[in-house]
Amino acid sequence: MDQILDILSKIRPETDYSASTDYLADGLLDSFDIVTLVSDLDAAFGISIPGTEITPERFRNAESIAALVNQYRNA
Amino acid sequence: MSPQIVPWSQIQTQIDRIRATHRVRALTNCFTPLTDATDLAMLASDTAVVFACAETDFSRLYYHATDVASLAQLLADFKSTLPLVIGYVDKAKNETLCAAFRDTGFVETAHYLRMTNSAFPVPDTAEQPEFATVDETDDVMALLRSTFNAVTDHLPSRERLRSLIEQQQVLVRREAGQITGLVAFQVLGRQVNFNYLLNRGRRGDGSVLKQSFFRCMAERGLTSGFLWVDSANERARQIYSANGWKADGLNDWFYTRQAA
Repeated sequence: MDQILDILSKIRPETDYSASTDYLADGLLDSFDIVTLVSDLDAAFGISIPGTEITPERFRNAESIAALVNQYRNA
Repeated sequence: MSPQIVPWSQIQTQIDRIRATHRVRALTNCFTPLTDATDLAMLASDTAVVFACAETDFSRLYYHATDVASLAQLLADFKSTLPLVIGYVDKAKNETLCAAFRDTGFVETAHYLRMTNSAFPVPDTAEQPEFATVDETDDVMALLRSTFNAVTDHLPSRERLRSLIEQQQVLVRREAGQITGLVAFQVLGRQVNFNYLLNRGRRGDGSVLKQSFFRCMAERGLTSGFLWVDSANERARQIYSANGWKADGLNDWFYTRQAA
């Protein structure tokens, strides 16, 4: 989880992700950021998240992102 | 080289294949799936994919590439009977990418800035907002097309516009039953994308529309949003700044290439 928050903070250094449970609704993450985030997650965790999984609900907060990462780490 | 007409699913598969093989931060301007698009024209290699989506009288190009050289090769090879528009969104200008666009015949035509507002002003109007009706979809579409730039302003399709109207996301002013001004916006979670503002009616109606927008947002509990503005339009930037909007550092550059 810490690693995911670290990656997020590099995308938007000025943003406090710990204060939100819904990054998209709160405007902390948008579609441009998600594209960058997916590339960074792929590289950091040695996974390849399929394009069909790049949907808003998978990037709602650190927990849902961690679940997505774990799904493909264990695949 | 002629691009192939393919469904979105085939492009998605190609992008996934590149991402699975090359785990690098990709160059891309494709931020949302084009699942509803038809007749997408694709050219691909092992390290890049370029595809075109036809709009009114031009095609918009999207790409996903591991490096600039791979992208440039496909752009050089991509033949089209329509003018091509390509762009990219980033915080800083990527000079290598820009050079690749220029070297393959593209000319920079516009530069937009994103502005955000995290505390909408208290609305200064007691007037009830008026919304466009579904029956007015074609009138609104005609006003948007005659006022805004199809290349840079990403005009909605008729179906998308109808959906916005159904969701009460198009505010209007009317004179003698005809729409003379409007604000179109898109609610995204707890923030809003302020898309289009136009006024062909009485002087001052533009301000009334803006106040109607803020009232509408207050009624929906929305206090923050973003918009895109042409960096060359100094007056628009000043007006938005005066209303609390600030550039957040994100840019959108547009390049155009004439038909072969």
